[in-house]
Amino acid sequence: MAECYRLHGPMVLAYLRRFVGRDSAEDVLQQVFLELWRSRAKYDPARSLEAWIIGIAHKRAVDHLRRQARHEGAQLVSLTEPDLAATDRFVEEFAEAQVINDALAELSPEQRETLVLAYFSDLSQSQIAGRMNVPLGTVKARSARGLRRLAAILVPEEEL
Amino acid sequence: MTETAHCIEELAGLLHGELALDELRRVTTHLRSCESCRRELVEVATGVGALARVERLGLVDAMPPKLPPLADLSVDPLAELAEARTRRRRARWVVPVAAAVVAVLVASAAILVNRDGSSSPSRSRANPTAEVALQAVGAQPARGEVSMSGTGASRTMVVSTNLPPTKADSFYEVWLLDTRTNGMVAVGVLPSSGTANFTLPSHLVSRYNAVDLSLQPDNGVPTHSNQSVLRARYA
Repeated sequence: MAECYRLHGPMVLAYLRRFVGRDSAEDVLQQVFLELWRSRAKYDPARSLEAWIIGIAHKRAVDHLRRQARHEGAQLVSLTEPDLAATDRFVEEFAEAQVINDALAELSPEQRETLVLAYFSDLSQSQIAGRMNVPLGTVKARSARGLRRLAAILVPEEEL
Repeated sequence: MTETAHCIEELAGLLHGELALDELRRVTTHLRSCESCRRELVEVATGVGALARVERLGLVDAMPPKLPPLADLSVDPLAELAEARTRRRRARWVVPVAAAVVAVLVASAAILVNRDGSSSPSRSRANPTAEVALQAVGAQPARGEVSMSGTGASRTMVVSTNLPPTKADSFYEVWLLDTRTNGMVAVGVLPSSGTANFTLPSHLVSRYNAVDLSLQPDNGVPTHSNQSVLRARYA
């Protein structure tokens, strides 16, 4: 179970954050993995494991939203069975993002931090220089080297 | 940068919209005449495109993946239960499943019944076991007990109650509850016998600190009815 959580927990957490928000996602995450553990005998190996997991995550997210709506006296109008195409697409997109993240992990810590600040935190190169307390030229150099290295990992030379 | 100098370090700024117009003109002029920098531009653009893709997918928050711990294994609920048990000494509700079954058979007092027989008395005794009493919530006169046993990845939780039978349009459900956050997770339905065994991951038992039993209307809504009937803290 711990291995399953390590492998698929990030994907489930990302999915849940879209549905129930950051604050509740971690609680629902625990419920999802309990459900997986209890339902493991029902898994059909012919199906995609990730899609099965996301299907359960969707149902637990819906449960959570219903409970929340009832506590708040609100009505939930359209909570349905998971859209299989949408869950498949999410699984693919998460896997794609994971590949890019794995490539990022191969960069030096300085290059990685520079790129994360630039592209995931939307800081300018000047702001990054201030944040990291390094000259602007250093940020430019780290960005350039990091991006080229990223390209080399994701698309090896012969494919460019 | 002069027009003849390479512009590799300006390429990220170019693609990120950070170059002032005069810098943009100089870099562009240079790129038009420099095969080497154009090749570099392709690689830098590929890197930028990959990172922008993560952002477009709305998965920036998930990268890099940061998971909360699945369980706080530094706190063993069984140890907590054992300590509570010692404090209470051996109380009237400390009843092994086998004794409960005998009690049912002999005295016809339907208090403790092993629902599926999966947790044999000998197996339960083989593991560390601890119990806490379920206390009534509200006017409900019933009582009960929760016992947990087992080590490693899973725990066997036996819930025993003397709850009265429900009407046909309702049922009792067992939940794990975190009294600090009111977070809860449904464990399963309590059968009419009033007793059930549940096998649960240890990490889940660790994450919550109480057991709650609710009276649920049979209306297909899978959430807590807000009608708790019994509750016990185990950590």
